[in-house]
Amino acid sequence: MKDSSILVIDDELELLTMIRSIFERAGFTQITTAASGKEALEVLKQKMPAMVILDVMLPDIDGFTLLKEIRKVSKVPVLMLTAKGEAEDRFSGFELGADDYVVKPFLPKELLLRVQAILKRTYPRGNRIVILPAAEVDLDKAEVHRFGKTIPLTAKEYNIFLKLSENAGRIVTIGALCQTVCGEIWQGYETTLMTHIRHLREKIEKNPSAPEALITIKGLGYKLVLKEVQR
Amino acid sequence: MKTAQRFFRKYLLSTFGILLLFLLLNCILVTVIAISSSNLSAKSDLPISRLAKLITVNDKGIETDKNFSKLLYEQHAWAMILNDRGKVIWEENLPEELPRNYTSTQIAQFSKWYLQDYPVRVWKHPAGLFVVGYPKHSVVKYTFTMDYDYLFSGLIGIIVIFSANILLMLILFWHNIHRVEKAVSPILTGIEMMAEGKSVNLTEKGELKEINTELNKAADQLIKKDSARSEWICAISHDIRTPLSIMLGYAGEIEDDDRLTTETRTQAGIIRKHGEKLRKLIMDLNLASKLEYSMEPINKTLISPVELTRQVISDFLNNGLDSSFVLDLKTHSCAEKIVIEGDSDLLARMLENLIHNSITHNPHGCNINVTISDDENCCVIVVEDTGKGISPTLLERLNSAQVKSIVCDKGGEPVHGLGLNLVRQIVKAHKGKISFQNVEPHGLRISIKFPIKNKV
Repeated sequence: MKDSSILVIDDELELLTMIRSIFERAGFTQITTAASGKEALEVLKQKMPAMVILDVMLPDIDGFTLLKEIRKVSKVPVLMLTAKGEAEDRFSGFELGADDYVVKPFLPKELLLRVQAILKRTYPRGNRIVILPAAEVDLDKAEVHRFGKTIPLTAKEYNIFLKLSENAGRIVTIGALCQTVCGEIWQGYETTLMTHIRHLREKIEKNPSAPEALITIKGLGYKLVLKEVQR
Repeated sequence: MKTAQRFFRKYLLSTFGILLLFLLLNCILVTVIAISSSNLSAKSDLPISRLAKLITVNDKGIETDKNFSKLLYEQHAWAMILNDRGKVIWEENLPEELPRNYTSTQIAQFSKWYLQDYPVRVWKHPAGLFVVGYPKHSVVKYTFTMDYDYLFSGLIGIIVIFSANILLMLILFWHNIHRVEKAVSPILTGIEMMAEGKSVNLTEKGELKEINTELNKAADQLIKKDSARSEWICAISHDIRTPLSIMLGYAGEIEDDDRLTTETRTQAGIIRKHGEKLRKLIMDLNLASKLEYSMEPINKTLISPVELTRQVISDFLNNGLDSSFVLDLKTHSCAEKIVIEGDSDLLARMLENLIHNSITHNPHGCNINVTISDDENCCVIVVEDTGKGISPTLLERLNSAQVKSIVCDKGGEPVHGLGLNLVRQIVKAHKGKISFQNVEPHGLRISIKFPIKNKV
């Protein structure tokens, strides 16, 4: 993932330098920058990057127009970076096909995490294995390997587990989990979710009554604690 | 609008009242004058019937009572009795110039009109035709003859004309007042709208055209001033964003650079922390200013307040809450089913600000409990901490205040916590209610009520 090429477009040179520095420190090796829409279009013509970070307010071409141009030729993920935070702007960005939206002033960590999440989502690499204290879960095959046995995950268990593993180490709320399983209208699904969690625990925990990997955060949701993640 | 209608209704009623009062007063006056004048004339009048009674006919001829002459004298009147042939058979004080014999034509004439300018009255007496004459120009005599039907229809006509006049007067009054109301109502509505901070657009026509124009101008100016202020805040917060991003970015870089000394890294950390505070402040300021002028569109969707609170609390916990704080969510059994209508971003911001408020004002740590329950069709969200609470003065101010000006209060003092002010505005925008209270032994409890949309 760290070798993915990222094009950063912003008219503030100092901001460009800073973003480059943040990403390079985080291990990214192919950061290209462009200070204007024109320059960006030239870079894009030569080689389409793996991801674009785009500022809305550019001196020559407005960011939304540039996004439209990009969308004509490519589905490359675009993260809009802008000083504008108004709801309407956010919506027009998403309507035009932006993948995410970060409002200035942003925290460097936040930008980094969002970019990494988008890259992970867009370019899934094979052999994704999640290693838990008592089992290993192969995300590509939707299987749990434990004590030499292979246990398959049901579609719903898989979705729940995927959501938890994407947010490993962080609390995922009950609503968010229900939503991944049954969509927008999820109220009333909480009990069913608990059943799925119980089944998941039976498959991935050494002792399902004293879980080490899939932890309940009382009243809020669940958290997946990993041993290590391999790619 | 209601006040204006009430005012005009009252005005119309009072006008009718005045009209009625006039009528009544006139009736009373006419009656009083009629009675008193009739009394007056009755006093001076010498009734012929009374006089006639004082005259008797006996064997000796015609005799009068002793009062008769006295009465006659007092009135400067004279009297005579005519026999059937028109001859004067008895007289008293009869002026010399008057004849002593009358033809039936003369009798018919004077009984109706005058006898040589003397107003006279006649009375049928056993002795003959009793005639009393009054001094010249003392009594006016008119004979009134009228057809009965004509009199009847005339009376009805008078009543009709009188009623028509009254009715017309009432209609004209009502019409006039209606016109005034029509002209003034838009102005009053305009003033009301101005007070609510809405734009005013009155038609600049009619007699009060100038007032309408002025009002439109005033409202325009108010809105311009308001939006200028809001735009100014928006522009400032916009221009601050990029420099602040760079500051935050580099401060974070320095903080994480393990080649540098611990002291430098700690200092960078402090810069980053304060930069983050500034970032939150700018975002709050911008949003508060927009909410104040209703510029921020509220994207209302159906929201589960429990899930929303879970997400906000999870964010706090996921982003590493200091271990001196315990953040907890308690939900009553029915609360899970509550659905409210609102802007999830704004409501999340509200909860963030409340929790953040407890954290900032209690640097040594405290427990923060968020409770969600339902109470009579209301969703009650309570954020309670075990911190130091707030002073009674501030508590009173927070509870009594309307949503205050976002920058300063009347005295120019900065309003305590822009964050709390923003919370107020978000609550207001969602038609909710907020109250603050201190808890025993110490701590602050903030309760917010929102109307429940439905229950799942």
